[in-house]
Amino acid sequence: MNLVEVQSLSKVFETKEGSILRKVPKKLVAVDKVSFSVPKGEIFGLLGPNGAGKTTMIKMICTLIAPTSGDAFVNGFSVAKDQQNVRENLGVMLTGERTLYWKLTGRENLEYFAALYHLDPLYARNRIDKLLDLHGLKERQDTLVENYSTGMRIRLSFAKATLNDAPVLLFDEPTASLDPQSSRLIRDMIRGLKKEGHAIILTTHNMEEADVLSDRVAIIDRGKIVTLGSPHELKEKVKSSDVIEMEARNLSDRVTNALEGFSEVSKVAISTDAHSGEKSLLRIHAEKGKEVLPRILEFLVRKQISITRVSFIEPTLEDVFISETGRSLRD
Amino acid sequence: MNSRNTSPVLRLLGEFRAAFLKDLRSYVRYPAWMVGEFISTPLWFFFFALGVTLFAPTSATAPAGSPHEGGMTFFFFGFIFIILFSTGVWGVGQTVRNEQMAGTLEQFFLAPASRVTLIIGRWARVFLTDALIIGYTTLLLYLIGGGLITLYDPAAFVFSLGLYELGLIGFGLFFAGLTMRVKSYNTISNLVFFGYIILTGALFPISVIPIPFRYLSMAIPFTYFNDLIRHAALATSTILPETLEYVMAALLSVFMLALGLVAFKRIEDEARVRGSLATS
Amino acid sequence: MQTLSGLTATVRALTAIFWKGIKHYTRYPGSFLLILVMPFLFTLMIFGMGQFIGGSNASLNFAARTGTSNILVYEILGSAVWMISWVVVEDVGVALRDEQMKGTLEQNFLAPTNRITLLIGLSLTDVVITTTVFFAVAGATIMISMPAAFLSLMQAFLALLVGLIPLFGIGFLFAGFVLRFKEPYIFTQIINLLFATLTGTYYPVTLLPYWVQFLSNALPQTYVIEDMRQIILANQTLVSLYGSVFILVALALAYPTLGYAVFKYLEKKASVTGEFSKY
Repeated sequence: MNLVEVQSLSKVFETKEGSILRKVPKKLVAVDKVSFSVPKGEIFGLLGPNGAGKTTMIKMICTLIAPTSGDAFVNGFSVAKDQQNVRENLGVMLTGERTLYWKLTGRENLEYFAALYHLDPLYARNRIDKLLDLHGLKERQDTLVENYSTGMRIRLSFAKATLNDAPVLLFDEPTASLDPQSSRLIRDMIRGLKKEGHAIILTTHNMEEADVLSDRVAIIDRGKIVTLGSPHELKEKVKSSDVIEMEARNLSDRVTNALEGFSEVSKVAISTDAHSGEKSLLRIHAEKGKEVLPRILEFLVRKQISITRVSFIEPTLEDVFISETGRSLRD
Repeated sequence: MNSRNTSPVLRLLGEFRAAFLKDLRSYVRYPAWMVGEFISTPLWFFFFALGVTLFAPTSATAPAGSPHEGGMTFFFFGFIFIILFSTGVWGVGQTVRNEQMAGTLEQFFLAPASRVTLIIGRWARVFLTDALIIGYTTLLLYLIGGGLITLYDPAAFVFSLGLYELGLIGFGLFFAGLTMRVKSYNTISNLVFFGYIILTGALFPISVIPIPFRYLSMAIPFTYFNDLIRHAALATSTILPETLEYVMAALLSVFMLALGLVAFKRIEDEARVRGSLATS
Repeated sequence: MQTLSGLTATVRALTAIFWKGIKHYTRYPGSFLLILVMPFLFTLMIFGMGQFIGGSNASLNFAARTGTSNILVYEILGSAVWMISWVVVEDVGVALRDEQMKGTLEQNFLAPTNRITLLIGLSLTDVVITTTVFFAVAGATIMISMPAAFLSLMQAFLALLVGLIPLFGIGFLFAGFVLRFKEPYIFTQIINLLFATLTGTYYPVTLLPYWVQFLSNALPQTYVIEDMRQIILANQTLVSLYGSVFILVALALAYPTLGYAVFKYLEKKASVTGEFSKY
């Protein structure tokens, strides 16, 4: 049974831009006729770069944003028409650490939200005890959230999302700003929730996370789902090509365009190093990669490109994204 | 054990209790604010009272028994009105805005809780602190020789205050919705606040206001709320015949509450369409 | 790498901060409206209450106590100085608090810009605009009511400008408190209210008890308000008020020095406890 059904959901934002004297109306299509479903006990990943529409999608499903057209159903309840029942059936963790009351303690935050979710007081008390224990917050339960570390705040947000034990759970970038150990902890908890039979929608721009956690992944770009399937299925699609990854300097768009001129090369993506701001990482999808590599290297050397590393890699979801969009997830 | 409260009444009470406690706890954990309010509020009164005494009769201009004796008591109630009204504008009216800026508004709207609970919870806390501040200022005034403020008709006073607060909650709801829609809410808050002080007979009777503006005063519900509270406290005469004014004030307060609820819902729906619940 | 140094660097930094503030200001035109009407609103409140309390003899009673029957000018001068003083004292600390809330305070503190430049620069836009507007509003009112008072108005403006300098010193003090204690608004509300009460905003300082007047005499606004009233309403000049002007100049030296010293001390405390990034 599908606990989440999204049917042709769209969101168009209307804004006005320009100077104070002359404002020009503009329309921004954030989500464009998206459809998918999530059954009980599945983790459904929404993977895409920043600005792809993932958060807008999540917010429409959890009723924070009204759809422009289409509908979504959470445990049978329509987000367009039956918001209160949708909220009763959802547990949501939004991104960011400023989603809790900083002048309340960890426990007080959970007590407050338990009341808003109409939990029976006795049940709520036991549930809060259990969650604080599970998330390693029991000893700091009476400390104000403003004195929590980032990791503790995120764990508390996670606890809040699972407080009402809702059949459907939405996690928006749950491991953003977390260290690797805390991220692993959160992922283990998500897997645990899946085993309990919750339908889980997870948004992330971290492809490794989407790969290891999701049963199915929808890759979203510019408001549309470009491809959908299990991580394995999606990677199989691009396995027919070899993926060559190169670290280099002085890369430019002209060079990458020229590389696409090689007949064996199907896709080229270039991304920028976060530290130096220089374009430095090249991913080339090519048939018979080992045969075409020497010619590619010769071409790059002639163009005075300084190459520091070359390797053949197993295709990842990033390569799926590149093959569908021609761009890197990191851009 | 049921995980959910099924009774709608228990649900609402639970929500209200949670919102009130949340607000109270946050408030007392900003001790600077708490202490500051308790110091600054009576200070406003004394500051303006000093300015007003320049106009008070001298021995040369008015003998004892002047019809304007008791003016300072009139003004003291004006000070009470200012405190209560500022609750509506800044206490209740900016609840939503404050939650938006703290990043917690979306969390509230995610829950299947009544939207109004957040507002009422805040109103209850602010009303409590206002009552304490007014009480202790009254005591302070008595201690410095200002005389004891007494109520002519306590029952009527409570009833009139109830009407005032009902109307204020409605107004606060409308304002809370407005702060989701408008960026320059501080400017609007200030202008509305001053408009209230000058036009509704809060600090001086509307008979002092020039004729064309007086008609405007008479179109504002708070003019009658203020008037009835003062009438119950100081036995002043009412603007309209007493019974008529009570009936009108009752209808207005219910109407304002209903209007506030409708306006708040509409503005919330609009914010969801624009995707601006999180925008601060 | 080319860098600027000395006065050029300071001026450039100040200009950059100023224009950043102007851009932000133009997005909230409602604030301009409020600044235009605020002095009148408070004056109107006092006037309305006064009319009720004093009845038909209200103006006579006022004149007997203040020496002038020009209620509007008397009160609006007090209002304008109070508003300006509030903005100057509050804005330095509030600007820092805004940066703290936005998470950009640390970035500002990392830059090799003198702290005084930063403190003044962050609040400069607001101070310049609001001071100009408040004074223009008061000035326009005075010119309408007393057309011959232009020269007096200029002298009064000079007194105000000198009076602003010690106010910045008080602003530095509050900026330090903001760094350490985070919440500026309630501090500045109380202090500005106290200042208004002590400095004769709507009444002569002589109405206050003797021991309170001692405190009033330590505040620059007391001299500014009284001097401005004397110049405009009693045809005095800055020269004839030389005693008061001398005190203002002395305060203009003392307050900024003291205020900055307190700020540096509290900044050091804040850096030990890691307060810059907390909000």
